[in-house]
Amino acid sequence: MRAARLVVVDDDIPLAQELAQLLAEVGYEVAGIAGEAQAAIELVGKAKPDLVVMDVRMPGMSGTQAAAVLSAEHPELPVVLWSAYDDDSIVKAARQAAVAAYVVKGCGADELLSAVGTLVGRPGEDGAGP
Amino acid sequence: MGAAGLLVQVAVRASGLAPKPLYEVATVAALAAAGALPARRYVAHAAASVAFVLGPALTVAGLVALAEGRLHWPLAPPGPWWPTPSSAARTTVAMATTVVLICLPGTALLALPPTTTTAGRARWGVALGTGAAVCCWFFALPLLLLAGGLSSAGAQQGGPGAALATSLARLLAPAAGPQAALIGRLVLVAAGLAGALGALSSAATLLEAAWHPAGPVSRGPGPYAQRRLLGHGRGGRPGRRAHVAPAAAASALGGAAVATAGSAPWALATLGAAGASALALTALAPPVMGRHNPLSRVGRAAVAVTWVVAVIVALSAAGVPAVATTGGGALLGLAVAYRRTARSPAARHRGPFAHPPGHLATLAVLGAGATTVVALLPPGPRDGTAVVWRSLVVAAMGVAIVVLGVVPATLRLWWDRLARVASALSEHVLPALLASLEAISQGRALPVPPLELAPLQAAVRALERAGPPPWPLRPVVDALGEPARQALALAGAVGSAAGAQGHQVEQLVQARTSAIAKANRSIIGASWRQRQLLERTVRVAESERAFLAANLHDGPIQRLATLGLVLDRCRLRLERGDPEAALELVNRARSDLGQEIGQLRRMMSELRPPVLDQGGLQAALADQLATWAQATGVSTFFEPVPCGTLSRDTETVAYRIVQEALANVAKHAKAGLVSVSLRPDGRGALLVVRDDGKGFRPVPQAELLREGHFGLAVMRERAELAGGHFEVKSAPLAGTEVRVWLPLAGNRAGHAPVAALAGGLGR
Repeated sequence: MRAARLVVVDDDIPLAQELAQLLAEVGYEVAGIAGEAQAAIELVGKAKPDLVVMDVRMPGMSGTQAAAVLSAEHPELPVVLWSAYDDDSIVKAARQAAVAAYVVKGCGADELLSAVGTLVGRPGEDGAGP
Repeated sequence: MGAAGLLVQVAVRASGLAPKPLYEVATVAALAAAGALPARRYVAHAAASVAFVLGPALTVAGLVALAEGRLHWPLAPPGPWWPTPSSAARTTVAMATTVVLICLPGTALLALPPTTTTAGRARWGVALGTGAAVCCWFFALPLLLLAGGLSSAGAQQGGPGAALATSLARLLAPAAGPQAALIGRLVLVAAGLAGALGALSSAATLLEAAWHPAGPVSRGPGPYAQRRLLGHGRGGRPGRRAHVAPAAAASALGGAAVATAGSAPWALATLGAAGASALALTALAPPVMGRHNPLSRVGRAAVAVTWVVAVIVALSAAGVPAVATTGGGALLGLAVAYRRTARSPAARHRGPFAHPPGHLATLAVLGAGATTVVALLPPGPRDGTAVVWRSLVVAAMGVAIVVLGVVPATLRLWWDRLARVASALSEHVLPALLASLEAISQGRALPVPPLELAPLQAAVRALERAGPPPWPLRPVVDALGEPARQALALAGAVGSAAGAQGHQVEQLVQARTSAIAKANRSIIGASWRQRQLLERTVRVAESERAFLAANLHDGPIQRLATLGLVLDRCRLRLERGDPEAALELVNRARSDLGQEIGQLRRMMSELRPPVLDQGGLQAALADQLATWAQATGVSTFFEPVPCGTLSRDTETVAYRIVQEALANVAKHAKAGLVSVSLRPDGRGALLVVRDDGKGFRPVPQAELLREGHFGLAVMRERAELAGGHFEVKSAPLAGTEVRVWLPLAGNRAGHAPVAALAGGLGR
């Protein structure tokens, strides 16, 4: 059974690369990294990932807006917002954008990995991936 | 005056009682006395006085002559009811009649207030009528009897009419023939008509004076306005109805008296005459000659003529008892009229009944004396002695009239004028002047109202028009007239002063209003500037905080999150049993952490550069430039020139502006060299940041803000909030120069809350 394909979106490229390496080491297949929302939308159209991990505050289109666009274009595609903000207003906007999960950037990626595992399954487990 | 004099002379000549020269002298004396008075109304007064004294006196003289048999009584009716009075009784009746006839009209005329022009005109009419009355009273009775006599003379030759004509012809021209008798008749007819008019005029004047004592047609708001308010307007319906009825009744009674005089008992005629007299006087009692009589002129004339005819016929029919009853009826009518007048709102009177009793008595005594003298003159053919005596009597009467009638009336006119001046002065002008002066002393402008000045102006004008006053009054006129003129001049001056003061006050008010408006504008402007300052302060502070938050998000938080991910990977490797790979990640994390600490330290320094506190602005700028050059690779040149001491806050502002300018250069300019200079400039320091980059086309700040370029706007706001000026010079391909002037410490133009802006980050 193949590992779930993920796309990482963050304007902080070093952070995105580090997250991609972590996800890969965990066992996921990272289909690509995007530094902004518009590039992410294009990348999702090409790579057909199983899940998108996306930052919220980015130049141009925000992660929340991009999530809404992706939800409209790919209703089955879960989007996990991963942000340094934990304001209620931002979380509320994310829920309205129909994102699958909202995870606050903390020390480490346990919560993120847990959310991703819940959504697409953990690597090596049955039923993981579509 | 001429007409009156002519009539007097005609009458005197026609009477044949005295040689022409003496009567002319008497007439001229009287008229000269009257003519010496300055105004026509005095002439009217004099003529009226003469007429009302002389005329009745001559009338009574004629009656006495008739009674004594020196004249024929042409229509003396035969019969037992015609009394044959004694000479003494006839004289007594004649004297009583004279007193009544003289006193009432004479008093009425002299009581007329000579204050208005219209009243003067009315008196002119009275004078003309009464001038005619000088002769008419003597001839009226024979004339009207003659009318009856002539009518009957046509039917009965040799009747009473022929006898009267013969008597008159003998009286007028004793030596003349039938032509003279005819002329005498014609003269009598004319004089009789004039006498009738005069009698009517006299009665009308009398009654008007009783009804409307302020004068036939006085002006002013007093009595007229009161009458209007009370519904007694001119020609108002109630008044017209009230007076038409007695007039009609008087005419009817008079007609009845005339119709029954010849055949009915004498008592009927007498009663008819008396009743007609009473009713006629009642009807005529409203201002007969003025505009306010509800009867028309024709109506009044009809009433009067009817009355006169009734009286005359009654007299001819009933003799002496008719005289008494007619007089009584007239007095009754007068009393009724007076009662009505007294009830009117205008009854604050100077009517005949308010006339000084002394004057009344004087006139009565004069008339009685003249009648007595004439009556005592020896009868018989007119010899030289009798003519002289009669002439002397008439002349003395003229002098007495002038002295006792004209002079008091003249003096009274002047007293009236002076009283008007004094009244206007004390009741109108002086109080108004006082009020104006008080207002001026209180700083208000209050000229004397023209309405208050008008009475005095009119009174002074009347005084001036009257000409020189009689000598006894001259000092009084001078003593009152001059102050009145001075009061008017003073009122004019006060009006000018009030106007000038009003102008000054107006100017002062305008100046103060302008100053207040200016102060208000200044306050509003200051308030607006403060509000703007606060808004700008808040805006700048908020933008600084937003920038700081963004930096925290993009910087430390991201770095630390990355470190967290690195540590997660490290843990995974340890869990997989690969400590070497884990050690690699630990070393990397340690290095990243060190870098992040350095980043945070730099951020701290940017928030408040320590060098700014320790080395001052020059050192801070040099340090900033060196750091920036190292980071961007752009060459920098800094020339520190000692300048005055800037305040700590202003130094921070200068540092931030340079920081912002350098950020802009790094972002947009593509410059190879940046030079910064700080040098003294007046009472401040001039900071210039110049680069050799690509420059830009200067655009308005609003456009920059719309396009999201806040750097220049923030720099300008920082400079201006610090009390300085900001300027940018640039052109495409010509580099950019930012010039900032900042005040030295203690020379802050405003009270800018620079401290609030000192914090924050450059960009």
